[in-house]
Amino acid sequence: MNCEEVQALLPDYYDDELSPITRYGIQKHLKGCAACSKELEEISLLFVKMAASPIEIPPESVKEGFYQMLEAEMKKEEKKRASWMGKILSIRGFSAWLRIAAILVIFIGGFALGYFLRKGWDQHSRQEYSELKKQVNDVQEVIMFKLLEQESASERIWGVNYANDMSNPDQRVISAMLKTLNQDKNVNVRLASLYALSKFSDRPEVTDSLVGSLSKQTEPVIQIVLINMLADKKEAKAKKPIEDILSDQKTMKEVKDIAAKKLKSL
Amino acid sequence: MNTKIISMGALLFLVNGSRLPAQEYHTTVQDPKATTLILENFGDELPIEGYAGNDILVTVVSNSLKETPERAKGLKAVYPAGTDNTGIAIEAIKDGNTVKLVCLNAFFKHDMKYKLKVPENIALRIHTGCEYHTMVEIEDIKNEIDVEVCKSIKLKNVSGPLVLSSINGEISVVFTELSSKPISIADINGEVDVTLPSKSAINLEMENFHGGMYTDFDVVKDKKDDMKQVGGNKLMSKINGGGTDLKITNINGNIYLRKG
Repeated sequence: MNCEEVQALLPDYYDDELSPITRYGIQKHLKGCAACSKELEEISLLFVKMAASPIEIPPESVKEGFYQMLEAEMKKEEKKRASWMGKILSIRGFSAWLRIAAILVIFIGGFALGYFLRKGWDQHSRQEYSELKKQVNDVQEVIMFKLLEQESASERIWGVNYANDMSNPDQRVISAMLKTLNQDKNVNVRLASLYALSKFSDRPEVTDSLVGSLSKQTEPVIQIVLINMLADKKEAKAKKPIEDILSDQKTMKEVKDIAAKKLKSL
Repeated sequence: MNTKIISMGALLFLVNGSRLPAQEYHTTVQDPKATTLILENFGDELPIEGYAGNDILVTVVSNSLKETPERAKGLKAVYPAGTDNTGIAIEAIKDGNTVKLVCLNAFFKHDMKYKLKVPENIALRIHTGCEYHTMVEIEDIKNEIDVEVCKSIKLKNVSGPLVLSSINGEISVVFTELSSKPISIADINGEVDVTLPSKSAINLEMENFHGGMYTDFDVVKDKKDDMKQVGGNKLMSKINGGGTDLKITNINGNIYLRKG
């Protein structure tokens, strides 16, 4: 076993959920590998800390969603484990990550809240809190990107909804949303990312990208929602592309009606 | 004597049956829950029913085509869209976790209609363009249903997740239970009518441009999301404490959300 393989399995190793053979393999590797031993130490520390911290119970919906996802993920693994070894690496890597990430997202929020309620709110804790929040954002990002890659449209929408819940998503998240808006093969997923992006439409670069997207969209429902969104924002740059949509023969009548109406307000 | 007649009858039936062209196709799915059934180019009415089993069964319901012409004897029907490997003008392609059925006769043999019986735990994906006039009717499915058509989508006894969009058709959904994964419904000119168990915990988001929205659920406006009105006629509310994301967008038709 190499380091990559071992590290992907460490959370399961810690949880004692591996077959004796795999377990033995890891033990052997750990004896001779300082880096992996350190990784294991960090994981145990993290798990111990989390177990010791006062935990605010997250809303049932969040928990249920996560557990279902985890369960599905783990079931998938069960099967794959039986099949050929090579594939395990990538999938296991994802799952170990996903497990840690999920646990973090669920608990850091509650942990932070309990912690600061006890400690009071000063300059120092504010800093700590923003650091924690950043970490939460990071793990949310990991999960979001993984979900956006899924074959199931509903799971991709789930990924988009993650971005929707982020308070201050970074450029990578915005880019992923824009890519989804312009390229996802499912209308509903594109629509979901349009709604998510609209939340950040006070960022000039987002507005510009939304204007740019006008000429790329051919699905009527997206055209309508997008035209409406930009017109309500009184976005002057949108005028030309909306006129283009209006004069395009292929545009559906319902879209033209709204385009004509909204152009008057621009 | 009696058994003799019966077995003769059975024999006759068998002989007769084997002379008829195949009107049915079935294939077994190892793990329905992990499988997606993709249906392509199916036009007109398309009834699909879930059941507790592992076989996908496609039956020809009506075939107003005349017999294969005399001159075609010894020849094989060929189709521009693919190869008929089922005997009922459908190409079946199994690939990893997907089973794809491509209807080959949608345009020039428009009168051939099908119905499907599928494992209740299988996921379904049906995307067709407006030229197919697909009207989907699905019952008793406990996995993801992903439909993109121009005409109607009618679902009964489903649990989600659902990802549905239509342009001119009605979308009606009756849930028996509700999964935790997102549900997204988008329509332009049809009515959207959704029935949910009354205890469903959902994060509801409905937007309508020209139509109305009606419900007997207790819809309380969400204060947190109050800050930005994106336009149109938009409503956000946590029902029964919030849970599954349910988003409905409609442009011209009404939205009805009912307690089941």
